[in-house]
Amino acid sequence: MRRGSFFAAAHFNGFGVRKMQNQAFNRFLSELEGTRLPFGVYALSGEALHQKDAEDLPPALRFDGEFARIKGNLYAKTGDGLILALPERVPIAEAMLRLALALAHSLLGAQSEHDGKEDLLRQLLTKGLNAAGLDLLAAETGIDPQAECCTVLFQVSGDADAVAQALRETLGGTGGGRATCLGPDLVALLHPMSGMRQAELLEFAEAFALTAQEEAGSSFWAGIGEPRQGLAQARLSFDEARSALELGRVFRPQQSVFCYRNLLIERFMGEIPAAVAKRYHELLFNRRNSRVLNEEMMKTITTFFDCHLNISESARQLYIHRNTLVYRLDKVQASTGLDLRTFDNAIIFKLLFMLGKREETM
Amino acid sequence: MASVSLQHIYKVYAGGVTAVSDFTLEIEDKEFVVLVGPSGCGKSTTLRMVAGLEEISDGQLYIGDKLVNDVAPKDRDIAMVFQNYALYPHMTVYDNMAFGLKLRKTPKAEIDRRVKEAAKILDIEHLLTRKPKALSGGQRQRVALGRAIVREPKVFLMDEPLSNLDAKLRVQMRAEITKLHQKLQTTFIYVTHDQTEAMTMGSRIVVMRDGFVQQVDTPQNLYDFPTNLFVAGFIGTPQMNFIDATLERRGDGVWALFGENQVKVPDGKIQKFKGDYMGKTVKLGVRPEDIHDEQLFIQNSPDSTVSMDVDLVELMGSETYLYLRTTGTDAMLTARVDARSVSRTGDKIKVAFDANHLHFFDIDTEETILDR
Repeated sequence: MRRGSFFAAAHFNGFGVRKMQNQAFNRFLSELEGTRLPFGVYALSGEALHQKDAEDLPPALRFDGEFARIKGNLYAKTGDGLILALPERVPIAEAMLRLALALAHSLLGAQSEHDGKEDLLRQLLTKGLNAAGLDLLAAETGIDPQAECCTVLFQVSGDADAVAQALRETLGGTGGGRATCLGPDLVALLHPMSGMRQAELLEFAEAFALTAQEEAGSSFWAGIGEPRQGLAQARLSFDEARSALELGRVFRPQQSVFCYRNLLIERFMGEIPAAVAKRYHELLFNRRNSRVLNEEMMKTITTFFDCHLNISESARQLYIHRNTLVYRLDKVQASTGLDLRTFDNAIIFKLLFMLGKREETM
Repeated sequence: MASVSLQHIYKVYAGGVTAVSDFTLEIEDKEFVVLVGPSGCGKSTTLRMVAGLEEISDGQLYIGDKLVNDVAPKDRDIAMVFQNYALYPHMTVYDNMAFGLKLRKTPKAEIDRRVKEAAKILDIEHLLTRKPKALSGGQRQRVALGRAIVREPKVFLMDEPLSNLDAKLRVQMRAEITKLHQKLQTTFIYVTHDQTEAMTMGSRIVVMRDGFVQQVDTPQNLYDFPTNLFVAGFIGTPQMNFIDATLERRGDGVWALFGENQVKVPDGKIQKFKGDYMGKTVKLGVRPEDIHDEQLFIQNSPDSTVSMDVDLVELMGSETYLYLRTTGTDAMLTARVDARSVSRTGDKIKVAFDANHLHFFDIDTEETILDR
């Protein structure tokens, strides 16, 4: 049994699980134990949270209606992201599992109602809220339900709770932004725009990144979604912020704050099927070109692109003679057929290079 | 105020890439040290290790007497100024400067004193109630400096703080930061890839390349006594000219021969040679300003006069650059001569080297072969 270390099954697509102490969960486990039946309790990730005689959670559960049946076990999903299991050999197994579901709903559901506005905000961003939930959130946070809102998702290498707290202190005066912790390394900010431009939110995130670095020494990244009309649409903004964070970290590792709006080409790259991306990447980055496109050459080319194809400036930054740079570019042209001094060829090189980055990290 | 001691510092990334190798440097209290080098040489990584933003793979870092390898950035008593000087758009200049102190629960009266004092130093007292959107680029950079000053740190760390500014403002802010150092009397460590910034600001300069320290010296010594070819070429604009030359002893002295030209090496230089290079080929270095086309200089330097073809003339206003080709070799040279020079493209001219300012480097090790 793993009391007091309940990793709630709220998953954010690879960002990790939210760790929280949960008295209600412990009580739920006590009640299950009281039945003396071999219940198993799992997170959606498959992590066993309480497993008496039950087996490991099968990798691909398919629920036909209320239950899933695999290898003599009966499985059911609670509304709170848990999976309960009971061997079919147990007398009236289905009825007992339904009772356990009701117990979970009663105990864990009641708990979540009491988790307050932070949890409501969390739910709004990750799952969405119904009309009643939106009204409650609006009442508790003071955010107009019809207001245009934008979401920023922060990822930190340090303590997310401390960052969320610093964010709340920083927000005093920005016009009602609300921050909530979403995991050990994730903090979300829902901010009503009320006349604010998205560029200001970007600047805010950049300034906060500096503060986090200075005060906590944390490495820090932020994704900014699009402003959306009304609280009900905030989840879309959150999804965009998450996407911006994921894509930005893959394609723009030298930056720390990413705006969904500014990642058009990266979004396009992200949607190309892996096999197609690999095929096109290898048209350029293959065995034949590998000797020419070595580490030094790639640094040269990256700097050349960063300097907007300006040969003199690139040579200055690389501290090589202008003619050396020209010689290197000639070498690339001889091997790949691409003259990087022309915009069209440079863009082909850049896109095929980016496809490989996606392949490496996604 | 504090000294900073970096002892055999290494930074090795997970993939095995070594960004900084055996970096050793003693920075005195109140010194202004500039780390300079081309992109990717490890200068920013070194600064970030001092700041605590990068873990030190090996070696010891002391700020004052305290070993700080495992001390959190906020407890190192440092302040950082980055290239990105983002300010909180919803806060006034005053609040932006005060914000770090508020987070540290500094008493209000103390915050007020420090912010006003910093604003006075930076001459931005009249901007304290403004919001960032009402500030120019230079003013915003001053506020970013102010945010660092109010912390009253022992050491200021600056990572290319001027590179986001336009050329004119950069020159202006360069002088401002130098004055700031004089006013604050605190240790400054400053990173730049711009050698002009390094030469004009630093009391000592650390030249880096590929993660290794090449030379640590005062700006003048770096210019006059570069320890190797890289430093010689990196410091100075236009950069030093290099020619492959053979040293030969003849009756009246030692001569450096290249193509159809020859230059007599002064006795003072020969006495400083670290080894016997007679009959060997060396790299002869001559700075553009040490090549003269004035008749008077040529007449007075018959032993260091050579023939050149003028490939191109660039008029810069206050001076003129001549791009020259030596007869009998492929060597291209740049000369910085007087604006009134009469040399024109296509001319075959005579120029004289200032032989007392010639540099010599070993062709294999690329190290200088001259003692100071």
